[in-house]
Amino acid sequence: MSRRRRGPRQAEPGRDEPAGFDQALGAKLGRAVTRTVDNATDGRLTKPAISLIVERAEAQSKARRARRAVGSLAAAVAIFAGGQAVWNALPPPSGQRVVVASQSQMADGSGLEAGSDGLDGAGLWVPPTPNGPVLDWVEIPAPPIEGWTAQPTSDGRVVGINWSDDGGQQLMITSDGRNWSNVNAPPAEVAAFSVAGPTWVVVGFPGGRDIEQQDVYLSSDQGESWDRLSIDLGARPRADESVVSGSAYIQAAAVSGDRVVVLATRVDEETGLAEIETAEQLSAGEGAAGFAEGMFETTDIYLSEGDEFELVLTVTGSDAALVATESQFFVNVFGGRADLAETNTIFSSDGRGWEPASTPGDAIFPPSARGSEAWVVSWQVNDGLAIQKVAEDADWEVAAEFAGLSPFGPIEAGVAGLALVAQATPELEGPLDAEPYVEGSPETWLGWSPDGASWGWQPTTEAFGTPSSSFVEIAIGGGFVLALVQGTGAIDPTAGGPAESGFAAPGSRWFLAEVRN
Amino acid sequence: MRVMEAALVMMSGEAVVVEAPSVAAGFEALYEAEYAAMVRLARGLVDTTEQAEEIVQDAYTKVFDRWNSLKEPGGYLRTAVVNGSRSELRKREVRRRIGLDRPLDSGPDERDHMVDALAKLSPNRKTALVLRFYADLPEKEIAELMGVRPGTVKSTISRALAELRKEIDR
Repeated sequence: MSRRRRGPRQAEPGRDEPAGFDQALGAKLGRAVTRTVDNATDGRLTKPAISLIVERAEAQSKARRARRAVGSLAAAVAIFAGGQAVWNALPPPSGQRVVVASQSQMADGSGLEAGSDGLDGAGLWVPPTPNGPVLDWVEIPAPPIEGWTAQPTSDGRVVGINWSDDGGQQLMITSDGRNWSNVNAPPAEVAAFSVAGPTWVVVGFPGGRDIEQQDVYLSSDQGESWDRLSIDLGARPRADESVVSGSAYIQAAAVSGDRVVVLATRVDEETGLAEIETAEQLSAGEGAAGFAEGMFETTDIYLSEGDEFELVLTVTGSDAALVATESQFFVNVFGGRADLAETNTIFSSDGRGWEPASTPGDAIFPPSARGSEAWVVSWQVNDGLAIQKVAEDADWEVAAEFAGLSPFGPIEAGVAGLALVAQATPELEGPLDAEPYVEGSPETWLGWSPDGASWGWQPTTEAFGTPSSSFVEIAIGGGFVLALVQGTGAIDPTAGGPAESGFAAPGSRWFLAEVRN
Repeated sequence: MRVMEAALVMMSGEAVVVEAPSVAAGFEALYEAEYAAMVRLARGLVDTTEQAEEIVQDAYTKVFDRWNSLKEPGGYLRTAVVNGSRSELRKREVRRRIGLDRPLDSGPDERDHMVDALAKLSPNRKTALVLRFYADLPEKEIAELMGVRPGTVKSTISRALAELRKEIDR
């Protein structure tokens, strides 16, 4: 699942503020938002006639039916054209639905042609043509972990963090998606961890929440025992021998071979002031939009080759992600949160020398690694998305392209395959602006591929029986895939299938798909 | 126009299944009672009233679409509004990161230092703060709406307040 998010135990200034201060700030915030909303809405709301809502509901329903018909026709054509259907022969577990993986293959082995705009001749958006298997999901009870912390191991299991309401935490592991057991974790609050390779790494706070005291723990026996490495995140000298002040915290850690890399983000207040002055001058002189928020946050890259960590590179920007293959590291850094922000991906084969890793299109989400491969999805403006793979030499190659879709999260990789959530039709300039059916949130689609080249696509509405634009987090094991679908209601057991099910109450739902390789 | 009448005329020339009277009355009551409140909730999360109204109207279409299977239409409506707002915030974040969107400029009479700082937070943190301190929801309800555990809501709000304070102090 996404590695961009940070764990709640990562220290930040203010975490230990007395509750009274937080409450006071919160109350002030509440009053400010109320004031703003009052100003914006009082006397200005025009409630549309209810008939318009009804008409809109019916129009959307018709559009959904039409798209499903197109998708079914495409699948039928694909099978007729020489594709094959592989039915999983797994016997149904008692009391559960049969888990089926179906596979269809276009005669030419392709999905939608790259470069098309995802519209048919009449200007209607065309759903992606599957040229790979889709998964069949069953709903399961919520696992004991926070879904967004789940990470796959190299041997096909999944690890996540359990937080109890009283703040305690525990690393947990599963080999089937249903049954979880505790991992013997190091004696520290976990701030970040990676279990993608044979050596696991955990970054933790051994002494509570002192942000200057974070340690790195390594385990070569999958959590049975841990070795501790110290890292100094204190004030550090800059090239001009002045000292960079400001707090720092570790965002991510990864291991490749016997090298360990960690990312620490630091708020560099002095550089920040200089950036603001420069940007304000630019803004005054050229009418620019202003300075980039967050540009004065830097990310330090530290390397250990078995002994002490050393600082090897500092890059501008925060919100960094790190992954490691068997032979390379990849770092993905957002330059900031405002309009001047840029996304940068750099790579290194030894953790010491770093180079830009250029990818076609905009790779706005971080890569994902499995074994010797790194995968990334990029947004090709008005041309859909491209799924790219890098192997040994950091040359990215396009494995698949799909028009009419934009990535809605990072690609997820695991032993069984790759998964990606995408949204129909990015709202960009050009012909897609004329796309007629999109009202409200575009539909989200779930892509699944065992090899990165052939992809099966299904709307999340059909996969999980949820409203469009659901938030879906994926974790991929060896013979199973876990999905956390957020903000939806419970399935009505009296309804027909997932797509027709009703919704009773808000909440998140977990789904499991079994995969036979 | 009432719902039943609307349903009868919305597809000219085609046979239409008429909604049951209870559906029509119930949906209309929900529409009348909650529309303004839902727009205000969405407006607290997104930055323009137009977007807020669009999100709420979209949420009502979802409620209408599933009316017969909803056990708690009001709860579902609120979830749909919050999810629609979060989706909009998330899309905006993605577009901003690749340079397609500029930060929204509010009018001079609408500027508020606190609200400006709130707009700079991540979608999840902003959502948690607005639901807690503007909508005044308890953490348990926020957890259900956002699909996380109550403990996560607590830590998210704590960290969001810390970041908010940092933004304000800049």
